Amino acid sequence: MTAAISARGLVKRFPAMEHPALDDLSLDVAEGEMLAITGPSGSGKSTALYAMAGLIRLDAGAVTVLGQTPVRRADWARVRAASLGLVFQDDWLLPTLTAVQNVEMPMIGVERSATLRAERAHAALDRVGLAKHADRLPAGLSGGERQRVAIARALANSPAVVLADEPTGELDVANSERVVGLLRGLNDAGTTVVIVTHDPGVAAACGREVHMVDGKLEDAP
Amino acid sequence: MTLTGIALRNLTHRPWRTGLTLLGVALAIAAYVALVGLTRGIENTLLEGFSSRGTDVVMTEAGAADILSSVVPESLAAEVAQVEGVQAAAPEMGRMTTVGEATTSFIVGWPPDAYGFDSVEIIAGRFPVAEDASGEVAGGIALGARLAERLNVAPGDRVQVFAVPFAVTGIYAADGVMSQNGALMRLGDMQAQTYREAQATSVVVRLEDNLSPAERDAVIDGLADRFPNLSVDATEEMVEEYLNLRIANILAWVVSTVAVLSAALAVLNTMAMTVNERRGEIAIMGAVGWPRGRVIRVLLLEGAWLTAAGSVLGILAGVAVAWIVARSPSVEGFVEPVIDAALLARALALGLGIGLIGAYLPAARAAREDPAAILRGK
Repeated sequence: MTAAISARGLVKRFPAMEHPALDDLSLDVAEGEMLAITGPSGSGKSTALYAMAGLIRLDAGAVTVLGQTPVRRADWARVRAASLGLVFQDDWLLPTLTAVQNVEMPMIGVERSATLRAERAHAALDRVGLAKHADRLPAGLSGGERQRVAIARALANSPAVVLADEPTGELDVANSERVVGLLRGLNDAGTTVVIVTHDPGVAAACGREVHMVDGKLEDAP
Repeated sequence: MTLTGIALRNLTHRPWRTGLTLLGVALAIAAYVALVGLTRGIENTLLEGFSSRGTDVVMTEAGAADILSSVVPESLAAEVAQVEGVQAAAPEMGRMTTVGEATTSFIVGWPPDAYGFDSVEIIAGRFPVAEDASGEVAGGIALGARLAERLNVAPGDRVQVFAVPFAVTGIYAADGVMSQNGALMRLGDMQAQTYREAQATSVVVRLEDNLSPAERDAVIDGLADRFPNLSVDATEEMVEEYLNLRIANILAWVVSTVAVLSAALAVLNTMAMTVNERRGEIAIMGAVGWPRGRVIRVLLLEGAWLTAAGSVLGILAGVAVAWIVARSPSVEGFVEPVIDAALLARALALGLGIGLIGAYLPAARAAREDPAAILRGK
């Protein structure tokens, strides 16, 4: 099977850390796979995910996304806009924009037609069950609803790969299950999903799990 | 949703901060428009005052701080009139003094044969040089139309000048705000009232009409050579070098510059605070695939909209202030603000420049930040 993401020899050191956050990490994520990256705090799992999204500068190594190996920031921005959807532990919604405008935001510069952008944003919100809250500001939504808006935003440009960093970390059980269900549904529809999680329940919902310790992969527990 | 929409929503989301910064920009632009408009108005008033009566050259006492403190002999005019290229020359005495009840005006004293009378149209009564029915040369004063209106006087009335009641002999129309708000009297009367027998403040010169620019310059140089103890200036140069005007210009620029720099700092401060508070939002823009340029652009749009609104408000306020100042009793009649499209365009460009520079620095810094460090947790 072709790799959606291929990471080779990733090294990342942070000045305050004794050990590298990523220590010669290599990892392949197959197209259509749903992968969980687990590990204790400080093991480097989130750093690995950010490296796959091109959001940190690596000290060594390279990441290939769908056959492209971006190096410059601008190249990574293009890859993220076209192929990657990102979900974080915090929703990071823009507080001044409504739910649908937040979802529309990644499409600016990608889709020229404002009408099409709005249509797609509404469709993405509908997909996460929030069509009726489209015009609400984030402050008027619950934590679970905001995270679902963030997932809809990640889907805005129909990415081939969704990368999620502790997407259920701030949610109660019911909302966690709903979010995992959404990501599961995406994967069932063919989207490659990589989730960084502490939660064994979330990891269990994924097709494969890799475990990280001290910036390296270990066999899953 | 567009970049402009996002920028405007961010501004309206923090109404107090936006409003106060906008006021800071408006204040700076208002100061710039009002001060420059008024200074240009003063310059224009002076220039109009001379050029409207066909004066090409003004000869004053060398080294005099300004034209009103200059002293030259009245008899000099006849000598100047003999110079080749000079069509006419006349002694002139100018004074700023109170006319009527606390109305400060510029009064000019001319001899009866001064060429300046050609450019002044009498609209009621007569000049204070013509003989009256009794055949005597009547002393008196002619008032500019606007001054007469402000004083509510007509020919035959009397007004107090130099603490002496002068008969209003006529009302005249003339170009230029200072002339319209000024007054004319006989040079002899003015000399008598100011204890300057046989003196004038300047000799004003009208050159021949058909001279080329080079020939004009040659005549002016010739006058300067022939009268080395006098300052001989073309009208425009004299206005440019007018000390009080230069001081007004410098003050206008200093105050405007301080106001503009303060506004730039206010915008920089606001945008730095905004950017600092919104590091997460800026990071997410990058995370969803916005290139650095687009992130900077949305922040620049905020700065541009903020300062554009402030500039428009400032322009309106500046125009209003300039006209209010020009209509105040102590200034009325001396200055009509000169606020043209070019000045307004410069004010708008200045405002936008403040916004773009003030927004760019924090925006560029924020767009350089590593988004991962911010997005990993609030």
